[in-house]
Amino acid sequence: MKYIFVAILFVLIIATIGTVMVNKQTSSGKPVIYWVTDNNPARALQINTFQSWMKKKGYPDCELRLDTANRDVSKQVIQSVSGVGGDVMDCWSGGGDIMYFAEMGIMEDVTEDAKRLGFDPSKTFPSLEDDLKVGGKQYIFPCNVGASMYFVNCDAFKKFGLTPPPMTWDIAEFERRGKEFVEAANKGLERRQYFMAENIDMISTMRSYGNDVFNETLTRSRMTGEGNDGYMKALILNKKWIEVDHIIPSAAEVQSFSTDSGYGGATFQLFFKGNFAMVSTGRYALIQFRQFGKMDLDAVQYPNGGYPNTIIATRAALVYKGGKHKDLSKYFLAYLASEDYNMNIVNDGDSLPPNPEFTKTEEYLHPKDYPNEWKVHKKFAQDAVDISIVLTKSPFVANKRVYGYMDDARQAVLSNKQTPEESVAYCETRINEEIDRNLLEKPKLKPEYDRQVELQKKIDEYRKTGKKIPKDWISNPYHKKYYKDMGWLE
Amino acid sequence: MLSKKTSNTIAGIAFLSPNILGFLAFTTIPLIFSMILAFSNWDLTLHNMFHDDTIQFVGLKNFIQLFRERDFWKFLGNTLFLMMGAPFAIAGSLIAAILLNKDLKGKKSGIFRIILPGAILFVSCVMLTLVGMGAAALTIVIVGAVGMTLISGILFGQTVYRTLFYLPNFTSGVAVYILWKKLYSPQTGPVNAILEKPVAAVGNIVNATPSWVISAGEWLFLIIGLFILMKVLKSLFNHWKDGDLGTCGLGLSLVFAMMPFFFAILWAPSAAAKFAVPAIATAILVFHLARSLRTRDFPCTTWHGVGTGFMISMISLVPMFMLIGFAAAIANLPVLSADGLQPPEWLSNYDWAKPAIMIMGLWGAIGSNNMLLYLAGLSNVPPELEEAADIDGASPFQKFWNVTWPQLAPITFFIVVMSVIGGLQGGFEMARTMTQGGPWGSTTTLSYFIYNEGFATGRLGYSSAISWVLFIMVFSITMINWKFGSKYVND
Repeated sequence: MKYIFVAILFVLIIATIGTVMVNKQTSSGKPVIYWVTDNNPARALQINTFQSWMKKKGYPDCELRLDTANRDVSKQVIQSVSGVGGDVMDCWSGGGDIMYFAEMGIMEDVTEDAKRLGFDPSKTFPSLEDDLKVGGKQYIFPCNVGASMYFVNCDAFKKFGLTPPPMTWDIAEFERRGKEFVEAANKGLERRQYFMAENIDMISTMRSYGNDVFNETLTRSRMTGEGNDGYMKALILNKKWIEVDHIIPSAAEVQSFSTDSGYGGATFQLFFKGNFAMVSTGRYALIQFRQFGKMDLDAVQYPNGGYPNTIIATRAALVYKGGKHKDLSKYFLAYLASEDYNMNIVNDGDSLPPNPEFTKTEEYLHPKDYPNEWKVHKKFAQDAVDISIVLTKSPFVANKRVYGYMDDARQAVLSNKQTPEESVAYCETRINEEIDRNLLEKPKLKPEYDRQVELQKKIDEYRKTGKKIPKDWISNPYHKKYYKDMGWLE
Repeated sequence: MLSKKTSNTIAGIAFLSPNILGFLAFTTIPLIFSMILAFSNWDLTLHNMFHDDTIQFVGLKNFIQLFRERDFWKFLGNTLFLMMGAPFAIAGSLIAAILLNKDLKGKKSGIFRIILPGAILFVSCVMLTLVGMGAAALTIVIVGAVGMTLISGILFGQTVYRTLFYLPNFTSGVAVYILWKKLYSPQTGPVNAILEKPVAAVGNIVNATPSWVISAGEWLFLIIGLFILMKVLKSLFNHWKDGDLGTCGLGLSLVFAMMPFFFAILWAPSAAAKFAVPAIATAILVFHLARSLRTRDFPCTTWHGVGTGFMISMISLVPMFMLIGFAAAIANLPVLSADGLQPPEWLSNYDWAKPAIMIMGLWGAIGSNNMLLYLAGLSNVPPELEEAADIDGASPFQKFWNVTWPQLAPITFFIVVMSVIGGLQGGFEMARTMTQGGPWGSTTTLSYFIYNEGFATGRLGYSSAISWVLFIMVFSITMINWKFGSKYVND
């Protein structure tokens, strides 16, 4: 037995030496930057463009390698706090990852480098500024930008003798057109197979009524009480449109479609087939739509309860604070602001380019191989500038929790376990309890929290008396824009 | 020069060292570390290599916070609910093992009379699917596959069945969950395609049935439940009178045994049942108390036999809870059938998501290692005992109950222990793959809760505390099983 043991040991040693030698052969000898990102075929071109851009700019020689196995947030967190994170990491601004990473201190502050190398917030969509910065410091720069709208499959409407919806519409018109569509499309069918929209965006619908999940200073959730019933209205509409009007499908109806593969799951394929006449998504969906074939596409805003708006978010890149090549990694962020990279994004349709200037190019507006998309591009760029707002993130609570609780409220209403009133009140209570718990566990937050609470009192007082409010009192990005558009700011 | 003994010891340690080192690095040290963490405020957002804050000892704060958290109780309830499937899973694996222990190989003559139409049926079903017959065709394919399996079994005997039954155990979990998600698809899945017509027929029957019959059905289940309670209480009081159960053990067992009937206040749909059921249950209890407490033949110490009482009451909980659940379902039938009864929406429905996962778990458990253990156990039952029973004229059931079942007791005991441990720790992959813990947290189990707490907020200290609460639960139940269950095994 011991001879077998020794033989196995010997084989393992040989294998180890072999592995090391093979790795040596593949190493270029240059410093290597690892980019933790998703497994997207476009990344190969982006890497090549980066190498040539570095050369063109005369920046130091280095090698950029992909790490597509560690994009999961929990992996990123564990690796980063253990000192072995990727040099450059993708993160999604929508769900609060940036705030979470910033709290952990794993992101390198790039404020000064951004100014020096030309990737400060002025080089991207202004509405994204609240996502790029935490506590006044810049940590990230967008790889691409997503402002959500409804993509419209115009053929799906025309097939049933209906006209596609207008760019801006209110709740009543959405409902009227929705009923018309599902009645015409499902006539004579044994089970409903056609829906006007795949879903509604709950946050945008809430915001269209002039409300947000947090108050102006992000110190409290404010979803109940007079004038704060936006989310409740969204819940009621969602339930009605699923269960009574059948404008949008229930979870069971979605599960019943047999197609369920590819990026975006079944949704995009069902949109192409016309089962969903509209899907709520960003411009990145074009990557997949182009693979399906030609369809007459348009884009329209979400229906609104008085205040048209949409959510803007970004897949951004950050520089890992514990990385070995932080200076080289910062060049990568500068590359994201370059023309070379932006034109890559413009051409492959992977959402909006980081720099809005490139949305004015002919290649962006009228890609010659895809005339069926021409109605879409300008609208996405325009909405990203005019009506988009980032998701609100409070520094006093884990934001994943907040949006999880909001989704729980939606599910509770759809499951008939709570009324919309009960679910919203419960959601608000849970968020506020979580804030209180966080303040107890992180006493460092308390002084800033108290300062913001004092400001909130002033804001409430001013609002009661109808006085205009100084802009810098408000930290909530939604309220900043809403107050400005309503003329309530000083 | 080393002595032979020393050199053997070194060689032995060298052989064991990979395992020991791995166990130390990936089990023992993390285990001890997590125990320390459970009493600390370790939060990834505050305590990591990029921050100077020091981790502080917070005593029992994490545990107090946990017990005050509403979600914890909800998710604990979900975990326990899913565990109610365990007895059925064990029974299923036993039945499977008994079936697979029989030689089902048929005679060669006439084989082609069976295999030929079977093959034609199967090929036709596949062709129907290919040309797009959808759910109906898929149903036929499943029926065809079952037919082919039966035929193959006749041809090749138990080996075919044993392999097929063991399939769930070596199939990738995630692939199986995705497959079940498709099977449960509400409008196009084969499960509902099969259920659709019978369920609609039941709906019609319910609509045509007078309401008093429905009420009678509801009460029938409740009365069976109350009857079980009566039997359980009688058994507990008899144990107490015979000196097998101390007064504290009796009190504790009574609390457990009465529990389902107080849950009826929440679950029972009719106002009458809401109050009458707990009232009747209380009356039964009072009756037994009045009858039994007057005399006690063999007194014993207060805590004596607490495990026996606990086992009796816990075992009775499953059928009592289920009967109350069935009663509630029957009472709700007229409302559900008003517009025609539909098959359930399974994973997308709050009330059906847990049963859907239980059914899937049952399928997996039938063909699990439990089945293999039972198979091994069955092959070890001494044939002379069965022959003796045959000579005594025992019926097949009597033979099973008095000969086979007692011989399988040690295996059953082991399976029960492992199922309880697995049940309390399980549910993570299913929840993450099939439902993301929804709808409205109905399929979030404690293990999924631990993951969410650890990674959504970075509260690793708190997350460790939940893990240790789970461990204490697993450990306590295992100890009770070990201490009192093994008694029945050895008897």
